[in-house]
Amino acid sequence: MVLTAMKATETGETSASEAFRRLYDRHKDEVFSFLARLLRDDALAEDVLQETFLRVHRSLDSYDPERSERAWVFQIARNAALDAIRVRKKTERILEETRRRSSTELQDATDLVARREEETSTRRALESLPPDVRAMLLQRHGLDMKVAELAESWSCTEKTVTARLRAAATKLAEELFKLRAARDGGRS
Amino acid sequence: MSTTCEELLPLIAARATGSIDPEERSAVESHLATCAACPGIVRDLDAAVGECAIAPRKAPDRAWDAILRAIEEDRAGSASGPLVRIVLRCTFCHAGLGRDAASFCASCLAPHHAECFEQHGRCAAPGCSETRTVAPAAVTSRTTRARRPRWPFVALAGIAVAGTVAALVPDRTPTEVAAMLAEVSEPGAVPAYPWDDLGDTEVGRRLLSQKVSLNLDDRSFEFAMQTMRELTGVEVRADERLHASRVNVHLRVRDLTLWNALALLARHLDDATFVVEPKGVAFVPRSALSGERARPWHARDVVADDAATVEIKRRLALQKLTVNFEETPLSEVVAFCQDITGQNVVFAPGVDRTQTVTLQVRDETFGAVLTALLSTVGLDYEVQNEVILVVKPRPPRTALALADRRVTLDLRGVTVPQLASTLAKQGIDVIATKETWAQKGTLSVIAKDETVATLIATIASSSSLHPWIANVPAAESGAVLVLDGLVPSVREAVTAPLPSFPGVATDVIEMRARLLRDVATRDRARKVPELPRDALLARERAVDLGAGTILSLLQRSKNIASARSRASRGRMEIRKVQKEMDKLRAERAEAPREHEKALAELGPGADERTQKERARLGREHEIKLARLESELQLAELRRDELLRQLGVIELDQQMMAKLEKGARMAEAERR
Repeated sequence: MVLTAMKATETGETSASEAFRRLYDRHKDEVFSFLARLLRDDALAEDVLQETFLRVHRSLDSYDPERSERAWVFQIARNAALDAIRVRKKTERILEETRRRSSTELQDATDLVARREEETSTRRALESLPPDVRAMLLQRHGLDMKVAELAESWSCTEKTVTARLRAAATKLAEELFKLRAARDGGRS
Repeated sequence: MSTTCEELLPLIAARATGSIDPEERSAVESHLATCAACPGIVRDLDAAVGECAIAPRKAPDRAWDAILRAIEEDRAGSASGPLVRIVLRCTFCHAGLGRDAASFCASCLAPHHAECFEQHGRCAAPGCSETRTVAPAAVTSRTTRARRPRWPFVALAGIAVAGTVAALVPDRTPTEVAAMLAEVSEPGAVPAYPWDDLGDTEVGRRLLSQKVSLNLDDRSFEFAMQTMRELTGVEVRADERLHASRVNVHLRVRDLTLWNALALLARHLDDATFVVEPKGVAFVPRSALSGERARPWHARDVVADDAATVEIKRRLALQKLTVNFEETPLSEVVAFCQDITGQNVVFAPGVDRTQTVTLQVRDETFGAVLTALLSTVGLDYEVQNEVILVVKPRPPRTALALADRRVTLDLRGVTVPQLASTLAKQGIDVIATKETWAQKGTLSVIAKDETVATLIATIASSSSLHPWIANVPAAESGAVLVLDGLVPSVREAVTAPLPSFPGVATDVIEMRARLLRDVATRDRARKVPELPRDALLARERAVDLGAGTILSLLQRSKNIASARSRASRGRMEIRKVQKEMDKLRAERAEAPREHEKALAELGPGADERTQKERARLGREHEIKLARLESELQLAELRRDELLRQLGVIELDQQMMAKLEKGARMAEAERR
């Protein structure tokens, strides 16, 4: 494993940074795609990508080579993304408040309607799920991670992963059901 | 959609996401074959799962350079403090924050990103509405200064500085404070808070707000001081009379307030304390100080970390542990407890850490585990300075001794400082929180040769104060009376960790856990006023609910409507328990004399019968003492519980009044 080598050759500065570079190259595209999809904001995804690999670098010492490298990197990426979402939510709330105070309300409302119409109902249902649930669904169905790998990435048992996946699916189904009911109601 | 469809929805969902059992699958398939509505949902679900697909993207090339830069900065940041790293977090966005980039709130020194502060318009710390910031100017000048060894210089100036410090300290004993207060005749004028030696200095504020993590494993005291300097930017020095260079420090703590970290360090030196100077702090011998500061205890030690103390004690009583130690060194045991519980457990200086212990328990409270572990090697613990301190057994409890003291007072319409001064005149050490000290209201206390415990109950039931007794072994009477105010706002009341009201004796929690069941049984028998359940529910959930929901909850509660009469019944009950306790105490005081009398009646005979009789009397006496002691403890617990309930009822009343006012205002606005 490259990482083990990296830990062993802490004194050999060059080989360590080379190994880190190889680790980065192995995962960067997949991590970036995952982040861009989860955050739906390329600029933010790029920031989080940097944060992710900074955290990876910081925790190289505590990395357990027995673990799946991919699960580990994605665990860090997901946590960084969830942090970013929390920060963004707070900022958005403030911005919205400021906006409400100023008089550009109408404009925004029009924007919002336009944006809403673009989105399909299924996507909207997906986006309405809590970020961590969404992250799990994306890891399972977008990255095609097996349950065992997910368990490693979420630091829990496979049983828990299955239970969480089912809970997420149920939540999704309920959202879809609500949307469908609203649509049908609107029509009649 | 029929009931079956709704019931099957989770399974249908599981089918779409491929997390379904074969058995369940067949049930779903057979339903889908017949249902008209469900296939639509299935299509939507499949589409949603399809939406989870991630389009492959290429990471931008510039990202790698940015990561390298960040790593480089990270390295530079950690190079100056290899042992510990303090991470500041922005109070607004909670993201990490470089020390140099931080701007601090001018009131509470909460760190912010400059832009976050600007965006929010004011400090984001709860309860703070400061609109100005201060920059960490001291930090930049510090880095250049801290490297230069200035010890010879400091040593030369040592005595002179100590002298100056002594001259600066207000030299006041409680009696003098009392005399000073007696002169205050103008109503409304509040004398200066006598226990405040922090002032409004930058250093003082920082000592109380900044958190620090230390991992000092038998390092020299000078190394410890240097670490503190580099971590915090606060100058730390030690008076040469303390011989700090000969002392080694063992301290492993996480996220401790700077003030408490310094207090723990000061314990390592012989009879030392620390004083706040314009640019930092200095460890000095107590003998170099005078007045309030020469006291081995300080108002802030007792009061300021009260919330933290209550929280730690709560965890000691509630957190469950399963341990299996066999001949394990104490230092490892403590490190284990620290890691498992997340609490700071620290050895007091001079405690032997190499002794081994053996213990196997399942699901026992943290407090019980610690007591069991430490008692096998003749040690004990106490909660101080925001940590659990492993100590050699402390002196017997003194809080009860103060509770038994008798006082005579006739005060009408006095302020808190005046009450404090009068009590000080009677030789009772009194301290108050700063807020309580400055409170505008007055109170009347009339007590004729009553115990301090009765006095506490009287004050608690007739004013918004909730006095309690704190064990401070170093104080003259072994304990001090803390005049504490009621939780200042409803918000704090609903978010304060339970128990929100520390009992009369500070060590009751553990005992409470053990005896609570008995108390509950007795309470039921004696019909103690029950807590308004809806109100309690509202209190517990208020953090999550909006005020409107709480209001409706409260309005629905018939219990709340009778809260007032409940409160007055509660007060009567408290007085009754108090009288009962006084009676028990008197009986306890009388017991040895009765025993001696019985022995005297028996005569000095040495024959077998007399000796047997004497042994019987001795046993009976012991049993009686034990019974009295346990009844007293129970009564005390009951009184605490009643006081707490009373506090809750009063809070609920206040909360209701506020909420009703809010609702009325909203109603008026709507009209």
